[in-house]
Amino acid sequence: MRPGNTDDLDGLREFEAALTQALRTDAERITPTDRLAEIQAATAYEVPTRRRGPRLLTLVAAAAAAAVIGSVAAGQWLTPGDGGRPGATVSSTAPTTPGTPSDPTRVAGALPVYYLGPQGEPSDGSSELAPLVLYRTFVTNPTPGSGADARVVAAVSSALRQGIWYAADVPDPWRSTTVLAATVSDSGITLTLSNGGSTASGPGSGIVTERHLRMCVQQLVWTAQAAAGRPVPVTFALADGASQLFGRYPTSATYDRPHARAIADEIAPVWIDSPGLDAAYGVGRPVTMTGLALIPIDQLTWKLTTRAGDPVASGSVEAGQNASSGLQHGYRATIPRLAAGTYRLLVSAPGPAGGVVGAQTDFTVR
Amino acid sequence: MADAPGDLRRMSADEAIASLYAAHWRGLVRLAWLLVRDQGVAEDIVADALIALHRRWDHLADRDLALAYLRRSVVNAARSVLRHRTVERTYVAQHGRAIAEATAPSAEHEALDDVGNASMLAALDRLPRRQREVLVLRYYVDLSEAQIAHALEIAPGSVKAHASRGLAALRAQLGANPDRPTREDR
Repeated sequence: MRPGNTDDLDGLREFEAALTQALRTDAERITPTDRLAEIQAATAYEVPTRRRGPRLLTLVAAAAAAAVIGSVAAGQWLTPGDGGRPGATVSSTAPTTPGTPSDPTRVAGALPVYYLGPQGEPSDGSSELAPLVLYRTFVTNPTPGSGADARVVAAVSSALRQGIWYAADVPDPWRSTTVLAATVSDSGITLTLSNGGSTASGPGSGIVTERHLRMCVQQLVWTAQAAAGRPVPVTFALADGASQLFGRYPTSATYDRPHARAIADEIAPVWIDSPGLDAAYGVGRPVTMTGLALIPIDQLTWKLTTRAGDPVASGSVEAGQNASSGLQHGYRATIPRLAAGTYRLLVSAPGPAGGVVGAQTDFTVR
Repeated sequence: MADAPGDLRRMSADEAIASLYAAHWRGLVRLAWLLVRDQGVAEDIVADALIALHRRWDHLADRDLALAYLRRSVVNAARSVLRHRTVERTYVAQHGRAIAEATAPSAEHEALDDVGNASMLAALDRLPRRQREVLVLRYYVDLSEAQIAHALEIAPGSVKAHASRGLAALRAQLGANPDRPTREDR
């Protein structure tokens, strides 16, 4: 880069300036899309790692997942709109600001929220509900930049409003409960709820089972820990003076996620991290989906439809970032650029007897 | 690309990633784009780099070097993409189509994208990988030799050698005049 005479030096400087100009012009041809929420989703607290086991654990978890999946039989994959709480798929938090999906300076927080849904249809068409498991999604934090207490309140509030997804006529024991406060410390999280929930059948005709109630408690535990970013025990306080959740889980006890070996019993085989619950994308931009699955990713496929069910696109996924626990496989895929509209994304894998296991989410392109 | 804002040393991993994203997302994606020529892949590369940095944040030896770590991750990942997808040869041939498919350049930029720039970029694409990386980091990101050496994990002397050879090769290809492309360049 150091020529021997002045003419060469001038010529070199001119050439370097032209190279710089060419590179800058070329780089500015593209306008990077906003991926912050997706990045925050991937970096959000996943599965607790405080008792990460040896590598063999992965095999144990996979076997456990296979056993759970094996309990799912043939049947149609129900959509959130088909069951659970109507409107539960619509964000209950502040929506993404219209017109700014590609603004890279928008530093909005993404809150992890867990919701309950069955793993699939009952095995023989009976009315018995498939095991309820936890699905994870991300919603926009209505108060970005706020502290851990506020994050937990916002996330748990959203969780309490989700109802039971993917299943019709399943009662929601949290339907009359709200979160009033949260306190996060290094040693634990305390959630103050308006009441301890309801065990009545309510509007749905389904039966409230022990697992159902236990998973409702776990739903709040997982959500609170994820929103706080700390795998610390959760305790509950009830503003109505009661001392038990659902009349059976004492507020004097602490609640926690299961240790790694039992995680597959509580979480769904597939999570969709992005698009999140209230995701909005700019017209013409590709949409990148990411998520985690207990299932090997070569078994996963995705299908995009309109809300009316008309097929739009489909494909397979590729490897993405694995969960820090090593239990879940990361996947990703890019959906071709889309016209304005509301879309439904299903990421699924074949289940036993022709059934399907997977997760589903809606997003908007505008 | 200016250095990261704020005092990264005092930030949590979440705060640091949000800060680095706000300040450097565009620049890093564009750096990756110059190396891999696919906007989706470029964004994936930078997103993965940020996610990996988040996971290492509490154990990072020097948080002031976070941006340098990100650049190194981006260059390494871009190299990996090119190697594993055997794109290095084909993307040159598909250059124009890839741009059309993977990006939506504005009319303004299309107007500005003159023949000189195109021939310069085509010549750059024909350089050996290492020379191309050095020139992109030097003339797009405006890094010093030491910074380039850190990003590419090579000796500063090697940076100088690659830059010198790369520039010489470019000038030879373009007849030392980027506005006078050869027939082959067109």
